[in-house]
This record gives sequence, structure tokens and C-alpha cells, in this order.
Amino acid sequence: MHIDARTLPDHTLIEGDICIIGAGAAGISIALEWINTPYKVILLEGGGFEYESQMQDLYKGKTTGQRYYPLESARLHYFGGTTGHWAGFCSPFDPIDFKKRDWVPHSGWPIQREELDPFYERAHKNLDLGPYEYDAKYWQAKDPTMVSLPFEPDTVFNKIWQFSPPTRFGDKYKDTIIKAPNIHLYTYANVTNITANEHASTIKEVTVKNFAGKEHTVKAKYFVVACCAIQNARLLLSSNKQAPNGLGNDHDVVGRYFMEHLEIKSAEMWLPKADPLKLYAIDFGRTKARAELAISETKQREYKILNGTASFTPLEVAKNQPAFIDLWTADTAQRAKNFADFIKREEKGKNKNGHKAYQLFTRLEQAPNPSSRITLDTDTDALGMRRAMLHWELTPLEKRSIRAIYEIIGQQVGIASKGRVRLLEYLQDENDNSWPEFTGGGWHHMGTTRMGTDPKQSVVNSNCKVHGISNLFMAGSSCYVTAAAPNPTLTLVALTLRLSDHLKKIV
Amino acid sequence: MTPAENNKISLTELLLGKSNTETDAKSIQNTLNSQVEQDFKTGKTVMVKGWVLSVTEARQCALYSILNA
Repeated sequence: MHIDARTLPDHTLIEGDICIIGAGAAGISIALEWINTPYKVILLEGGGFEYESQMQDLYKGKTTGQRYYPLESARLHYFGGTTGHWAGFCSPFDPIDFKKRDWVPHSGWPIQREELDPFYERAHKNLDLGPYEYDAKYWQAKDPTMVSLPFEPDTVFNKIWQFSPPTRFGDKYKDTIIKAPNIHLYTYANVTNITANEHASTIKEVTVKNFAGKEHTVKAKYFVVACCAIQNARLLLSSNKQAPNGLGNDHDVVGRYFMEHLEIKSAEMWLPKADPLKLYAIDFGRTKARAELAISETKQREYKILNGTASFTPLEVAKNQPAFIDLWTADTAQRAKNFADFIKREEKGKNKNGHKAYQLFTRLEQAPNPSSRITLDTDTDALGMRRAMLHWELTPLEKRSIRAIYEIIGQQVGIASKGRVRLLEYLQDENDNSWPEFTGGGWHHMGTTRMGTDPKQSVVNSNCKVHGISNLFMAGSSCYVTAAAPNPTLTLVALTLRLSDHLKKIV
Repeated sequence: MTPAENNKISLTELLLGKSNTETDAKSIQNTLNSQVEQDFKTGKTVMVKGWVLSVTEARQCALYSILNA
């Protein structure tokens, strides 16, 4: 059932069993799990069903530190959330990503990879992915022309990515959600405050506002915040009437450990003869799976580096492409042209016989860093809520890791007599910890309400429940302890399905 | 690789051995190729202007540079 919150009488009281705040990949994934249950689920979406500049403006915020995209460019504020413009890249985290690594400060999840496996498999259905198969051999058996580079697998292995169509949750699940009698979707219902009891140990209600000037109250037994990593932290920090530092923030952890994926051109690989490298190539809209080069757990331990992967783009194409960080502009028409031109150049530059030179592009986890964080600005948005501010901060470990990854790959290329690798200039001086202007992220936000067992160092427990608050849960990538190399959507949907199962046990 | 290598005699000896009398280009090439392969396998690599090269390759580059200086 769908209700436009602008049409309700002012100060309407809405009541249900579970209140989900945010209707993106996480919020919709939970709601789908509760269809045809005896519970009344309130699903609150700040926007409507289409992109609106006024709604998007609520996501604006200042950034400091490492150069970053405008915040309003990274998330979409309407039903379906950022799946409205995601690219569909999916791969599970590696087992090492969940482990405590003594060379990666603040690493170590309270859950391990095998606990997520059944949920990854279920998440595949939500995202219209193929079988839960990430062994390169499975895909090579289907297409023997997907030949591996002959590297030592205990050093560099083929990490498979699968591609969602990409599923636009807003388009795909709108009818299902609206037709579900027990799912009450409210659009134009921006949550601006969460109200707890006097001791901030239980949530009583949330306040929703919209541009029609209406303010409503939602009461439920359980609340799930699924607004994306920046907004999740913003909402907790803003809800400070019962807890002066914000809900769940007794130990000043909310908003900290903001993580992105470093996505940056890093090296070139020159081959003795042209090779299409089909296993590693992507044909957007058609490729079901492809590999990126990844460094084995053994080598990560030996070199004490972060987890990251390398993908290939024909050098003659890559050299003419602007950096991701320069693609987005405030001008809508120019922005559309920039992205269209980017894709056009990629398509035009492809040669089915392959290329002799490729650019190697890194996808690297950022080390968890308490100084990389979301805080609140004094400036407020049009609904009176303090805006989010991002301070994005990298450490020397990220740069040392990228350099080491290409030294390792360079050695493997040499052993295999497949050519040679050349690191880009910014990586050549091992004493230089600065980052070039073209350094960018993957538009991925993670880690602002991190999971852990110690309330002094984390915000949620292993079930995504906020420490010290009996009925408040966080959903999505804000719960990540580390970022791994893969794009976050698959893992955040898996983690959300796990949360949903937990809620079903306790409700 | 050390500064002491920075001359024609040292580099030639390091590349082909002190008692080397090989003059056949093909044989020299085969010797160097197997050394390059062995270098990569044993991690004897060096970065030269960003290129991940085997030490043998880097020595060849240095020798070429000296001979053409």
C-alpha cells in the first residue's frame, strides 16, 4: 500500500510493528522479506518515485580533506535509492576481509565470511545476478575463450565480478511493495529526528517532515535505519534530544571510520602481442561475469597490504578518459554528456582482436580510519536538519598497498613472460605519500556505524543493533568494519537479509 | 645493483660471468633470457622509471646506456 505523506492531515500518527527508514537497496530488501507476514511494516521514503532536485538538495554537504565528489552526486533520494544509477558490479568480500589483520588498524569483523554465504546467495535474487559462483573455472567452462593470465594462483588470482542488469529497485519492486497489504510505503516522509525514551535505551517514535509543511509521527516496536552510510550517521547524530552526542554515540564513534574505495589508474601492462584478455573484459549490458586480478591472502599477509584488485582498460582508450573525480558537474546537461561520452569512448576504442597495452586500474579498500568521518554542519537543509559534512582522509598504507600490488603483478607478468608492467609516476617514489589530483573513490560510502563487540569502538553489534538501544537497528554499508575491494551493494543486501532474519526471530 | 656496477666491465661480467667467452649473439640472448626468467622467479626485480624489470634487464639497460654515451 502506498501513501503520499504530503496528503495526510498534519500531525498524523502512523503506527506499525516495524518501521524501516529509507527505501533503497537495503530498505526495500528488508520490506520484501516481510510481505505476507502478520506484521505491519512502515516503509518511509523521503522522496517520491522520481528524481527531484529539491529532494536531492537535502543530501548536499561540505567536504574537507582528500578531494571528493559533491555529496549530492553520490546518492539518490527517491524510491529505489542509489540503485537508480548504480552500475551493477557485484562480488562478495574475501574471507580475509572479515579477519583481524595486525597491519590494518581497526580491522576485524565480529562475523566471518561463511556466516554471510547463505545471505549472499539470497541477495543474488534481489539483484538479478547469476548463480552464486565466483570460481573463475565455473565461468571458463561456459566460455573457454575466457583464458586466464598464467599467474601463480597462490600469488595473484582471478577474482570474479558478476553484473546485475543493473536492477533498479525503484522500477522492479515498486508494484510488489505497493500491492503488499501489510507493507505501508509512505513517500515524501523524511525522517528528521528519532526520539528515544529518557535514558535513550529504547526508541519511541520518529518524526517525518516534507516540503508540504506537514509533520507526522511514526511509532513502531522496531526501527531500522537504512538511509545510506552518510545519512545513517547524520540521522543518529541529529537525534540528540535524549542523548547529547546523538543516539548510539556515547563513545564518539558514530560517523567515524567513513570508508570509500580508492578507484584510481595505477599502472600500464605492455604485452608482446595483442590480446583481448576476454576473461578480464566487460561489455556493458552483455557480460555476465569477468575477472579482476587480485592478490592472494598469503601475499597480502607477507607484504602487509590492503586488499585490492586490478582491472584492464585498453591504454589508448584510458588515456583519453577523464578521471572519475572530474566527471560529475552540477550542470545536469553537461553531466549527462560527460557520462555518455565516457561510455562512447570505451565502446569506440574496443578492438575484438585485443590490444598490446592496457591501463591497470585499482579498486582498493580504504584502511578504517577514525579521522575519516561524518559530522554535522551548523548549516541546515530546507527541512531544518543539520547538513552532513565529510572529512575524507587516507593513510600512507593505501598508497604503499597500491604500489606493492603492481610490484607483485609486475613480477607475475615477468615470470609468465606476458610482457612488462610500468607503475604510473605518482607511485614511483616510495617515500611520497601524496595523492594525485585524479584520485577518486567509487561513489561508495561505508563504515559510519561500524559493527563490533565493544561499544567503545563500534556502533552496532553483530546483528546490526545499536549498542545500548533495544529496538534500533542500522542496515546497509554503514555497518561495515572494513571495505574490502568489491563494490558494496551485494554485501549490504546480504547483510540486510541477515538482519531481517534476526528481526523475524525476535519480533 | 650498486654504484660499483656502473662501468662496462662490471656490467658485462655480471650479465655473462667473469670467464665468459661467448660471442654468438643467439647464445648470449638465450643466456640472458633464462637469467631474466630466473630473476623474476626469485624476486630479483627492480623498478626503473616505474617499469618492474628483472635485475638482468636493468643491467642490460645500464650497459646499453654506457656503450652509447
